[in-house]
Amino acid sequence: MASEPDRKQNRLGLFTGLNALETIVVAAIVIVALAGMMLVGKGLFLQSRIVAGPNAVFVAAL
Amino acid sequence: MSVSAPPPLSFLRRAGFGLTIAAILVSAGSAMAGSATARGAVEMSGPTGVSLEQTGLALEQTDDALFPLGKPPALIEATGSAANSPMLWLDNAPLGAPDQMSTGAILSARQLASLGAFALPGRILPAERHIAIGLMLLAGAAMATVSFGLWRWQVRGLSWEA
Repeated sequence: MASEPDRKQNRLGLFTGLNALETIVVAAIVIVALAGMMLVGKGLFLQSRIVAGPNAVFVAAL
Repeated sequence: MSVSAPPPLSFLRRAGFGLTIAAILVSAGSAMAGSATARGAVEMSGPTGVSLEQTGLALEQTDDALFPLGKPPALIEATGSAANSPMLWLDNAPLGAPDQMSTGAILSARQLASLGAFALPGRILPAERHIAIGLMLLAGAAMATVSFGLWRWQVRGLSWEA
């Protein structure tokens, strides 16, 4: 009895307090957000290729 | 789809209309005015062998008599030649063309893009399209998150254990 709230506290994640339907909805939202970020990243990459040329080599200057 | 002036009346029909209108105008004018006009009306509208040039001349004279300051624009449009007529007709148009024409003030996106002043300046680059679609997806995800959060807050409260 005393270990149950501890177990609840231990696995505090994104989907812990959600039932099945809410989990599906949150997963869909997360997928859409990830796809949007991936598209923005690809667009920035294409933009950089347009600016610097297709054969440009990006060197991280540290 | 080309746009042009309406086809003119045939020569015979125009001559018939001209004769009829001239006869009506001249007879009406003679009925209202004195005997001098009546004599001219008898001269002009009497025989059927009046030439077309004379009919046109009579029409011009009656126009000058009826409109000493000039013919009204609507009459010029209605009776003028095909060249200066502002009425637009569709040439070789299918039957559904009048139904597909937009006579409203709010244009569709295609009509707006066809105007040139509202067309996009150049083509859209794929990089810009990717960024725009990605931002739209992010905005949709944000709105869905807010909606879902408000709904769950209303249903369950702020407790995370439910």
